[in-house]
Amino acid sequence: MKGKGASLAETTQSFLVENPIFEIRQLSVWYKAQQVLKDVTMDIPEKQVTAIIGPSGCGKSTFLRSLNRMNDLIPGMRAEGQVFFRGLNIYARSVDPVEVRRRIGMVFQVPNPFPKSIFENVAFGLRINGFNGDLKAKVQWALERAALWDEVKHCLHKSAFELSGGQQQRLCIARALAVEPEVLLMDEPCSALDPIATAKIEDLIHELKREVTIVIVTHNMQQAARISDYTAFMFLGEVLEFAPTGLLFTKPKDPKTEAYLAGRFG
Amino acid sequence: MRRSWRKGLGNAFGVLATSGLLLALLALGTMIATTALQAGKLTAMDAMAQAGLALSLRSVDLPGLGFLSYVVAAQVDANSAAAQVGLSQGDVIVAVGGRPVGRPNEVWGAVKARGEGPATIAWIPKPEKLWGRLQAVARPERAGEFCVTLTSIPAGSKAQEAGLQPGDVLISVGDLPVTGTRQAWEAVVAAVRSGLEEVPLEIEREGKRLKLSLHPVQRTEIPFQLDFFGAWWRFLTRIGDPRYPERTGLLSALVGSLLVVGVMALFVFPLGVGAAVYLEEYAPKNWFTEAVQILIANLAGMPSAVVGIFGLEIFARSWGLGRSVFAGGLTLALLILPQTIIATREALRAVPRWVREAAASLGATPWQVVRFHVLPYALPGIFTGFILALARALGEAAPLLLLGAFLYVTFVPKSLMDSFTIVPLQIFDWATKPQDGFSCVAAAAIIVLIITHLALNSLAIFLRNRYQRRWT
Amino acid sequence: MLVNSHHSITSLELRPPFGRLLKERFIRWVFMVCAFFAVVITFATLGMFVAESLPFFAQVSLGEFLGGIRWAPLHEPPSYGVLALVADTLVITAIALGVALPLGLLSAVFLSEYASFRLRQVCKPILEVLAGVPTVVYGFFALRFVTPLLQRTFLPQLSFWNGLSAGLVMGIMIIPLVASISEEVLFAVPRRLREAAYALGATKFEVTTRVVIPAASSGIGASFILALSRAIGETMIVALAAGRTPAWPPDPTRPMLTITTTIVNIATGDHEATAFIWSVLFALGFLLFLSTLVFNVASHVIVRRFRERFP
Repeated sequence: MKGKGASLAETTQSFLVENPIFEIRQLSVWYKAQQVLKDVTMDIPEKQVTAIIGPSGCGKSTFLRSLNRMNDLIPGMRAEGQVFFRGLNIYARSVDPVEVRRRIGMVFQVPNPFPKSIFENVAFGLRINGFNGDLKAKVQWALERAALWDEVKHCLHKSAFELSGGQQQRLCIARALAVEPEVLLMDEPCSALDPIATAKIEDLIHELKREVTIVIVTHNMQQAARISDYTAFMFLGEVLEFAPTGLLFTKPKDPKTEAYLAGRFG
Repeated sequence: MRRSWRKGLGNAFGVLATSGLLLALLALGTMIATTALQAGKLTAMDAMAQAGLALSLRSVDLPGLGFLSYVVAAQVDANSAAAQVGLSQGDVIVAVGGRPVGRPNEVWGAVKARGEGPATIAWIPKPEKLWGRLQAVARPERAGEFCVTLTSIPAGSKAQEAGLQPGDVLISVGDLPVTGTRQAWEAVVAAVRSGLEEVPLEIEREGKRLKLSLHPVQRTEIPFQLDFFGAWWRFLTRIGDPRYPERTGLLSALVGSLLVVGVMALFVFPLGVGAAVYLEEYAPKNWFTEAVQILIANLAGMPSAVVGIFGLEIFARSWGLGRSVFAGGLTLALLILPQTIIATREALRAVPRWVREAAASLGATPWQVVRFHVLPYALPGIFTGFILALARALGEAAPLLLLGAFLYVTFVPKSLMDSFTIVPLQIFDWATKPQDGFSCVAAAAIIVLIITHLALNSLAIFLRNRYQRRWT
Repeated sequence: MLVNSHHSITSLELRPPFGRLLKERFIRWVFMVCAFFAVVITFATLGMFVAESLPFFAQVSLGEFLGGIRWAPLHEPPSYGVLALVADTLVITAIALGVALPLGLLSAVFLSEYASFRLRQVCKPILEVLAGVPTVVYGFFALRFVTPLLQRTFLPQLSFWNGLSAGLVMGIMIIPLVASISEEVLFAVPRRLREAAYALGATKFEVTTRVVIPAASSGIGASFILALSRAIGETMIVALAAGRTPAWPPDPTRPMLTITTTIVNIATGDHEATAFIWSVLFALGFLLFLSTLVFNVASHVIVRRFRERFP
């Protein structure tokens, strides 16, 4: 296969992914002169939850944002290497980042609904994608999938800012789901939420993985252990270890992973 | 001990700083208050004008009496209250409501002090009505000298009452030797102005000297209506006669201002917002964008006179637009554009980055991000900035003064290629006119300008407080 | 093992639809043209001034222009010494700054260090509104109030047109500008600096004068420079109140002729459009343009440095 140079055998990935949706090959990202991501090579399995853990500042978010080319929006960010999404390099010249983002949705660290009504928040993605079916039904469908419908069905035209933090985050998930993405990237989606709201989101992730691939960045190891099928440990811009979650948490190969899991730094 | 000294110094400094602000506010307050005070005479001026009178100032410098000023009815409208009591153009008004007056300002002051209702006006008829036509006749006995003779005395005139007859030679008026026809009458005015009710005359009739006394002053009552709102309404809605402050109006300047600022807005709003959107949302963040930004910031600080020269050279002369509304609007646009760009950029920058990211993560194209999110959320801020820009544009005079906006416009501009004047320039023109009353209408126009300015600013502040989003 | 085989033949395409691409490009282009406009205008201004003042400098040497003290372009022989105009401009500017800088700075110190939050919230918009009052209003005030007042009180020999009242009133006009910029930089001085000084037992006065003002000095300096540039470029106040005859040596109790008033005189005079006097206009405009540009850029750079230091 031309262009997909690095062999997985030489990388930190200790297992073979049967059904990868992302094949990341030697991905390096610079912010101005600083290299934030160093030669990341890994496969991400389809319809599974993959967690990225690591100490803060290790490049987790940058890595996640390079999977749907959100980094393009930050002046001074530059990427090298390839990210194959269903076999197509999304960093190829002919690829439009807008098209990429339509298929790969994202949920951010702090709930960020638009300053519009709940309905309009969910409908926005549909509208810009030229959706011409039953808008109301589709919005309801998305809100149901985000387990928010019952809470907001009577106040769809209320401002999204009036919802609680947890509800806002589920609204953001509904907003992302409405356009039926194949992948949902979640950047520490619970870090701004209380434990109850966090539990709801985690349940939701369990539900959703049957239909979409989820890549989640978290600084919370317990959360990664609870919800993910695979876990990657990142350190200083590198993926040091990538393994099925159970394996990584019980038998880490890399001494740094072990030290991190034991809470010796973080 | 030392501690209290330090504390005292600190307190003194605090007082000094407070008084700095107070002094600054005081100076500005005085400015507005004195202007309002000046404009207060507008009602009295209007009452006078409504009674049919336009006044102007004359002065004489007579030997022995020195410099004396007096008020002449420069125009008397037909069928007006003034005309009905017999006043006509050229008559001299010497007292209003018992107060002697020597300049138009004093007339208006007296009307204002007198208040509503009829007021007695004391006036001296013009020469033709006072004693008919005078004639300078060469004296046969003394070569090179003239004497002033009365030719025909109008029936019912003051001269007739005094017993003057045709053919009489005026020797002296109010102890002043008569040297000319005009001077003889001015001597009467001077005598009355110096407080005499009876003016002593010395005449020569058939070789004999006679002493007579003339009562030149006529007293009539004119009803004055002090109508505050009417006065302002008429001031704002007429073009009027620009020669007389009590009859002039602000209409053509108001229309001119609106048209010029309208043309300006038509260019500035799309261009300014477009440029700001490009610089903030599209432009790559590199040295070039940076340079453009510095350039625009400095364009905003360019003296308005420089902008005026540019407008004069490019729009008025090169493009052949002349001194038209269109050229004025373009020149003003040049001045306001950078400010609009800066304000719009600030409004766009106030929309947090996460909004753009959230929209982009749903697959919105750059235009969709701008169209559906950034612009709508920034709109109150953009409007605030734009309203402030409009306020500034309405007050700018220098560039259009250079462009050669007419100061003396007696029509309302009807097309974009017409000449025009604008409110600040009208103020400039009036403020520099020496005649009484123009500083009063200038002050009135300033009140209009300041109220507009305050209204637009309040609107902007209201918009900012009411609609600006708090991104929490 | 390079890549899983079932992706080897892919139907996935992530190309943008052609129509959308075209639309996005077009919109971007439209916005770019708008921005381009501002750049074009600046260079057009600069180019125009250079080109149009060339005939002037071909005939009058730079030394004569900048060094001469007699400004009489309409006399025979004409004389183009701009020094008298520059001196008059600077004298009026100095009077204006003499009023504006202390009062503006004191107001700023009061608002930033002494005023309560509420008072500050009220005063700041007032200052902004006052900063925008049309200058013709100030000119009227100078001509019809300040000059008569001075004549009646301190200076009976003051002429009707004079540089003094124009300068004083221009100072009043500039106060809000100095106050609001200085206030912003004073307020931006971080709390930690103040707290450090208080922790050492300093009084409020000492904190303000020895810590806050020195820390904000560059920003305050920038506001002073901006005030200077504003005063030099001000037109309406001087055109109304300062008169139209040059004074040499500069005497603020007599009529004075600034660069801006000279520009107004030439532009509004009935001169032949082709006359040489026209290029005099551009030479003066160029002088004004360059000097204010230098001051504006300097102030811009200083403020930016300040912001970088205390973000």
